[in-house]
Amino acid sequence: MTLQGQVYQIFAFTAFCLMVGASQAIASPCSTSESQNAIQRAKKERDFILANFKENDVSSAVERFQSALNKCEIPLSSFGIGSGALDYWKTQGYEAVYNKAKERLEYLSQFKSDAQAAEDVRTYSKKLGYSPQETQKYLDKLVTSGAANLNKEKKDCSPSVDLRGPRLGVVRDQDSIAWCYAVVAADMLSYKLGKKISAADIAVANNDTWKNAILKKFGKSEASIELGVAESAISRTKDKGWCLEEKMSSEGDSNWNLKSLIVQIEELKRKLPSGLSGNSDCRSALRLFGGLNLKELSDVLAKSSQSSLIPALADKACQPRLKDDSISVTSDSIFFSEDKSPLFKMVNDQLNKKNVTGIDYEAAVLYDHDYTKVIGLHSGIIVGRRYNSQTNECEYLIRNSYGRGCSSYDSSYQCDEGNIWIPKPSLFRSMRRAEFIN
Amino acid sequence: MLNLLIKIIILFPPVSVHAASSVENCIENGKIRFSINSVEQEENAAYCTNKSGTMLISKKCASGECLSTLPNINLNLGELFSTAGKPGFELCRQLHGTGQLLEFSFANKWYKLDRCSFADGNWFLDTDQLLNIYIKRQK
Repeated sequence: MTLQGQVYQIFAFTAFCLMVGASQAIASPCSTSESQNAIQRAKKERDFILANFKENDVSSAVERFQSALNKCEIPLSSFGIGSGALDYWKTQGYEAVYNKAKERLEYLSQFKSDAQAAEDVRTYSKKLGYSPQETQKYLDKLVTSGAANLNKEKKDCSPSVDLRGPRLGVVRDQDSIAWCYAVVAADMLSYKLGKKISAADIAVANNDTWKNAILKKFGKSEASIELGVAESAISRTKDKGWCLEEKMSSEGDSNWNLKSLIVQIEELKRKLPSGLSGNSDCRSALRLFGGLNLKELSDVLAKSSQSSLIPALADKACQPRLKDDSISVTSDSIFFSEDKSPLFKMVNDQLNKKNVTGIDYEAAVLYDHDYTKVIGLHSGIIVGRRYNSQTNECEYLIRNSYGRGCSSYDSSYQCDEGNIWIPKPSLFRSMRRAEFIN
Repeated sequence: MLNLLIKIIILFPPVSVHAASSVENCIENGKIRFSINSVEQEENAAYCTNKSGTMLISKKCASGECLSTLPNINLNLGELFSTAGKPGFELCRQLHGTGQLLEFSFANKWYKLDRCSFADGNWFLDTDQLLNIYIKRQK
């Protein structure tokens, strides 16, 4: 054996002796392995407590932690913890749950009385040693206002409305491009005009600005100019008129999604600046612009610049465009106030008139009715309203633009082929904007 | 007799054979149609769907076996939402699947939906179910 090997053996033996000695010194009623198991369990509980005590009631975990240590008489100090820490963790957890329940109760009292939140407030107020009389006074006040607001909610939620039908058709699928605002604009116009309007054409026309022309000149694709507002898209395209979906498709096909189709057509122009040659593959352009024939496509390719290509193709394909001078849009935005009542008044007024309303809202509400993390704004239209007597909540029917699927939305919502019934308390906090066509 | 029944239930518990309990209708000779470069194409496939035709999954995967082969990734809904139109499609791309808009037939009716196809194992499911799997895993 080498000298290095001998030194290693001596070192390992010394470490082993120290470990055995230490475990014997700590554990008296338990064997070494029992002590080690207890320490492992306690460590696991401690980690859970430290990760959760600021948000949740960790009293059960604290008890499990304590019992793991007590069983083998392991001192708290071996974890570097003083005895006050256990009560501190418990109290912090109680306070967190108490505050959350209070917040929820106060929020929901705008719409109804929530028995569960009231019970949580009562339970945790007791655990924290707060005055029962003061707690009851606080609860009575909120229960009374909740009951009064519930009556108003029921009234505002009546009558039930469902505007789905042939005017709107099947829920659209925006697929690869964040043109949800254009889908909303197209849905609102389709509902008004009784004909299916192309969302892609609205987006392309809305993108047709001098700033975007510069971006496109420097190589940015039409399909990469995303985001917008339905109201301004409708206003901006009003003079030009709107395009039928059959003349310009808003969906890709199985080979290319919409974004890729547009990029393909832009590539075609780069390869063939002066128009089509005999064996050009222009199927992607014909797929998107159903209103064009080969000659028209070749002419536009030859005459347009790279930056004006897609708008020029849309203009050619969409002739004659639909026009209606009577159309105007009214909107309201509330970004910084918690009170979204004016937006809901607008929605309710329009539903009473059998009209749809476009909305911008926090998309996280689609996946979690009680979301805590925002993911970004999304657009949709409200096409229905009903009162749910089981939950005592008014529900609004959102027509989304993610196709007919329903599997990914919050499981507490009822979803019907891409139309989702979202309760007002969830939608209320997520709404930012509403608009309707007069 | 009752004892025998209890024993049978204990030995052979009623296990759902479907990934999602609502995917209750399966067919062997189904038809899927889609268009590639403006040319409509039709494909024969075995798949399962639900009553309203808003779910679609390869029949061989309806028991959930294929789903367990999906890699564990940290789902960032905010990122999915900001980078694409529809989060399910973007997720499909991130998983190296192929997203596709399509129509499938069931009981003499065509349903418009989409799918994310995975070349390894040759199976597919709709992008909403795919997203739901990852949302659930995260919870």
